[in-house]
Amino acid sequence: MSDCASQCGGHDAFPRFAGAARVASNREIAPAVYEIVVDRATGNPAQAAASAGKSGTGFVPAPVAGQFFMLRARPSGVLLGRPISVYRSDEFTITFLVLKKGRGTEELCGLRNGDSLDLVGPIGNRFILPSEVIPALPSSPRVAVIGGGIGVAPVAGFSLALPERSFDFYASFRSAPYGLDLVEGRAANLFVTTEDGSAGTRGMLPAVFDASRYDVVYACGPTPMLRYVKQACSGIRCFISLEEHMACGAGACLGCTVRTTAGNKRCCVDGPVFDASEVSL
Amino acid sequence: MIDEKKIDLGVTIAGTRFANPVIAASGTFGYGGEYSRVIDVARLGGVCSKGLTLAPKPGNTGVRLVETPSGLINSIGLENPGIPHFIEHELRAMLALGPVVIANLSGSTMETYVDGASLLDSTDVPMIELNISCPNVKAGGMAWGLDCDAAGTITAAVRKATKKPLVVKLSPNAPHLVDVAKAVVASGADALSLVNTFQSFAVDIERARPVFDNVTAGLAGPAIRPIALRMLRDVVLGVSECHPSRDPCRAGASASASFVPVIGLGGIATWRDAVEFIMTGASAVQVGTATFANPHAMEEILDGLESFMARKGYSSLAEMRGLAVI
Repeated sequence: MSDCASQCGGHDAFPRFAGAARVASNREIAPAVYEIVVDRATGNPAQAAASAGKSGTGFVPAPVAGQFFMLRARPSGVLLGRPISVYRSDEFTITFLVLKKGRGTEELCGLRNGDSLDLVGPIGNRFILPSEVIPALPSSPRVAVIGGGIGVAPVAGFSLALPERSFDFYASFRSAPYGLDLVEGRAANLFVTTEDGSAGTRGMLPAVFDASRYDVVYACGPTPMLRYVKQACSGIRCFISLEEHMACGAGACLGCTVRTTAGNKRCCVDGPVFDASEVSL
Repeated sequence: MIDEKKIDLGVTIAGTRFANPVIAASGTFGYGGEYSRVIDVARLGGVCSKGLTLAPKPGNTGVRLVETPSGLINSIGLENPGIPHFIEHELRAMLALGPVVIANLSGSTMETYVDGASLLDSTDVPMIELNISCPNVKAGGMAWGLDCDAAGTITAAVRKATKKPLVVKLSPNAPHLVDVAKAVVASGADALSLVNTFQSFAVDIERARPVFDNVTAGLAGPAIRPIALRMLRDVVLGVSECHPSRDPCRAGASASASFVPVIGLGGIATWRDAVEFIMTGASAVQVGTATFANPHAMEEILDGLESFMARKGYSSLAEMRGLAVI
């Protein structure tokens, strides 16, 4: 606990909320990919104001870029919540992109406006800004942000914290791209790859990415992609957001342990963002 | 309509007073602080530490969790920082939380158990839970809990190393669980807790390989609850030959001395489940996997238990304990 507090500049990696929230909207934005918007206010607004800050009632705490929540539909036939990254959040809502993959995510993707879901979070550390990287980067660092598949969600959200045109964005998909509306017009350059060639460059990330052009790289995506990024970025500051099977999302069960050069870390509360040079993939 | 009568949720186990019978199970609640922003940890009756071994353990490689219908298979492998680290860095904060702290003592060889028990004995921890039921480590662990001789031997050795109240946590994988329970009691256990996880197996069908590097792993969660409850019943009948509501046992001091408290666990997720366990003879209950699914589970169990007792007119747990053991 203590080392995260120091790494994260005091921000809280442990969940502060566990309870039900309401789905404001849910739509399929690409085949099997849903954009679920959740109201941060729970219960009626007056009650929310009165009980703000208390767990399980009132208001879902605002996440910072890089954090995630455990989500489970209400009612649900699965036991545990599923770890889902925050795509974006504002004063009133939190938006998630969910890939329909198994039963838990299938239930989430089937939620309709007004339905409830259980939510635990926000959880985890955050992406540190280029200006916070130690040792310091050049004054105008060359920044690359990389998202693979559904992993585009947390890094696209994070890119909102970067000045416009200060970064290049790489997005790799099997087929139709999604989750790039926050990036288009803000990234200096947007490189898209699709394995089927339906958009952008045909192929995968290595077809367009040249690590030597950057001072700092942020990435989230499938493990084989992150393995490539880590290898390509040796000698370059590189931060990756990892995904593991999780049960508690509270640092208690040790089910999501990541092996690092500094020993075992919990993906949920010590991560999910890690310095790529410190993790074995 | 809630009865005006004061309801006492308290229970004394091996001389240790718990404000209520709801205890966070080992390995599911970290060191108690992890959930403190979400729930009122001070409300709980007790908190068990993660399974602790003398030397630090990195835990198992590979996949550690698989969800099943109403269940969760885990293969953590006793990842923990070691008992000296626990004593130096975690115990004080844990004791400050309020609930009774139970140190879960695990090990491999007898020496590691005994040395671990000696270290814990010199601390302020009020209770030790001897874990002879972890199915996820190669050496020791559950091997000590599968037969009477081994279970009796390790219990007697740890008993010698500590004067603390000693709870022994039993494995449902023991072929003769009641005999193991009797052996453990005869060797000096003050109380029992049961059950740990059920040994299980999962296949990665894409790779045609076991999912878990350690091959087999432990199943917990609501899926095991009815079997855990039946095992609780078996052990309560076998070990607590006199349960407190039976007159002969209440009368004489020698008889009450033979009452062995049993802490029930295995898939408890709601207050109804807790009531079932208490009516089956549990002095207290532990809640584990349910907290992952719903961090408020233990608070909801406490609320529901109190309402139920008010509705039924029970003023203490003793009034309903063991009622269904017939």
